[in-house]
Amino acid sequence: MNKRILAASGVVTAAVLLLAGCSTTPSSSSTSSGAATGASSDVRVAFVSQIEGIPYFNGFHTGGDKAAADLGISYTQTGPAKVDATEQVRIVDNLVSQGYDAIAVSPLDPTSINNSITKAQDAGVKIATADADAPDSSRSVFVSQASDESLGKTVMDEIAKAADEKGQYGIISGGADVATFNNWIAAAEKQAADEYPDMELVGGVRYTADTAEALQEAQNLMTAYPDLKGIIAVPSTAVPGVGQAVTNANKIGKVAVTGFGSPQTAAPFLESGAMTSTVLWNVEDLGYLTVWALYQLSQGTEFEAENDVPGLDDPVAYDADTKTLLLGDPTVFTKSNYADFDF
Amino acid sequence: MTTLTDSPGRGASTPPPAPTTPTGGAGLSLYRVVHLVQVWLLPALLVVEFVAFSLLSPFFLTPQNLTNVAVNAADLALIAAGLTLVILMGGIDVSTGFAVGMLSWVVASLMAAGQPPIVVFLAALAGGAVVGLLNGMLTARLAIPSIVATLGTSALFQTGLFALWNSRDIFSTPVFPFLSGGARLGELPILVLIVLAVYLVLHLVLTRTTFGRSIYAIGSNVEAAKLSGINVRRVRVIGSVILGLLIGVAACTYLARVGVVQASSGGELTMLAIASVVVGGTSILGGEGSVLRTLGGVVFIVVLDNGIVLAGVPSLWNGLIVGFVILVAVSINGLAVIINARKKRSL
Repeated sequence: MNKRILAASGVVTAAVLLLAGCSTTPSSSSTSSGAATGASSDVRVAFVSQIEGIPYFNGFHTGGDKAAADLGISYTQTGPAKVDATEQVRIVDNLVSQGYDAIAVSPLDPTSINNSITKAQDAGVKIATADADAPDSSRSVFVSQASDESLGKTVMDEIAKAADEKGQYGIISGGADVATFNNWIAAAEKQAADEYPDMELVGGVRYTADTAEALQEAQNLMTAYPDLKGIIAVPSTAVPGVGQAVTNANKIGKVAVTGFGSPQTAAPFLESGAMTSTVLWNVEDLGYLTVWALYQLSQGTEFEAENDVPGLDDPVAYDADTKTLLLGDPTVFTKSNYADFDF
Repeated sequence: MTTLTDSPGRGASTPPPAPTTPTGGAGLSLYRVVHLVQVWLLPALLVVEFVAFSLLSPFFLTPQNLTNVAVNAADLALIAAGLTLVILMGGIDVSTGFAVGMLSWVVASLMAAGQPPIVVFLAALAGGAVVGLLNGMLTARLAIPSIVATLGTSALFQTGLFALWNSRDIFSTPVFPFLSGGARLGELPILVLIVLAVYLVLHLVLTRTTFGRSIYAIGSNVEAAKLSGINVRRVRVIGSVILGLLIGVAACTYLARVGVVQASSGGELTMLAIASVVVGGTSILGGEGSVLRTLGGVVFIVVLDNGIVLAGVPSLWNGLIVGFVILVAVSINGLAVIINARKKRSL
């Protein structure tokens, strides 16, 4: 009897733990209200990141908070705790049912999110994509950090510069289904084909899930191709893995590493020279611009070809054909300037 | 002699009605064949793997590459060794990866705080023991099926890592310098020797001690084990704690190797560890297998990972081959159980 109760309570405990795990693990969010002074302080906007908590999306959060404070609206940022497209769709659906005025999402998978976007719009919620796009969806606007083309091109320029424009290089990517990564890589390869005929991609594109795997793949590439001149680390999880692999192999200065890591993630490797540079954009500005755009959407304001966004230095271009707001050119972070950025 | 099929709860997976005509003779020889395949599948695969990769890439059989592979495999090997004990008892643990991730965060923070290495190492062991005790208590004391219990703890560990990490990548130097695989004894990294020593000790424990025999007995037939006076709960908890301690060590080697802790750290180890044990030929139903087989499974999986890149094959093939081998291993195992049951019935 006693035992049975114990066992039963055990199962209940496990179920509770499991549920707790399910609901708390995949997402974490925090809301910040603007200085509830403005007349529009009842406007609530939200952003769903690809993976919540990484320095990159923290930077985004900082920028978003600043914009929300300036505009006097409420801003929530949330997202899955691990890269999981289905979970992300669920989070978006939840926000829609919570009655936000406008929601932006950085879709992990540009197709599986489409349904949610349509449903949200049917429910009267304005939907934008930011940081990554879902081009086939009915989203109102895409807030783009810098075009995928310019990012891929810049990272290729960086690796080519470090390798004196000739030799073998490798690409270590993240999940094979992350459209952003694939676009950057396509642009980098195109730039290599156009401008650097002597640069040769070896080993194909290696897909990895986390830091340890990226480390292993980088090590394997350096073993398989002893003359390897450089490695492009695409996701921010791969950046420290590749940096560490080059450090472990004592190939600092022989194998150049660049990629799309945030300056803080790349910091120790930029400092030691294991990474020559990292290419990204000012993500705080992107967060700022996204929240600004969400606010315009919620108010029904149309974008102009050139938009003066208070709080951003440069005017922001809007392309009406693709419904895209473009933040600007990519930023190259190196040993000399990474410390200025806190993301 | 007790067999797998005797234990309650497995009836459903064992085959339907006994054949009307005795198939004793044929069944027996088929059993031998299946058994032979079961024993020799992994060694054969390893030979094929090594030969194929050394033909496909001149860099595969170099000391440098093999050392890299061995050093990279250290954390996986340690977890898989401990996991073998749990699986031998008919249990499973799907929380190992994030347990490593969470503990490596603790280790990295203690290192960053300037604690003496020995204190950090002991803290890792203690943390691992707590993890093992938690899983062990949930499964053994509260009688929660281990897959459910460890799914729960896995979610807790993942959340724990996520919360602790709090958006800051923690970079850390190795707890002990030799853990990064740099220090050598002759040609072999000391780290690899330590891993091999762990396997040797566990192998001796499993084959030479009462505790080891209890593990097999529990996995074969838990009721019979109870009747024969084995304290099943205690053995299960001790098994989990051993796994936990090894997870603690693995957290140190993981950190020494990767050098950074992020929100996803360790996660991929869970499935790799289970795959290593299963590919090694240890029965997922318990009662049959050994840590040495698991070692073979680890070697197969990490060498495949490495060789496929060196041979210039797209990484897609990796998952395909591992998945196929797991299915073959499990099928062979199931076949052996079925034939065994038939044989018993017809006798």
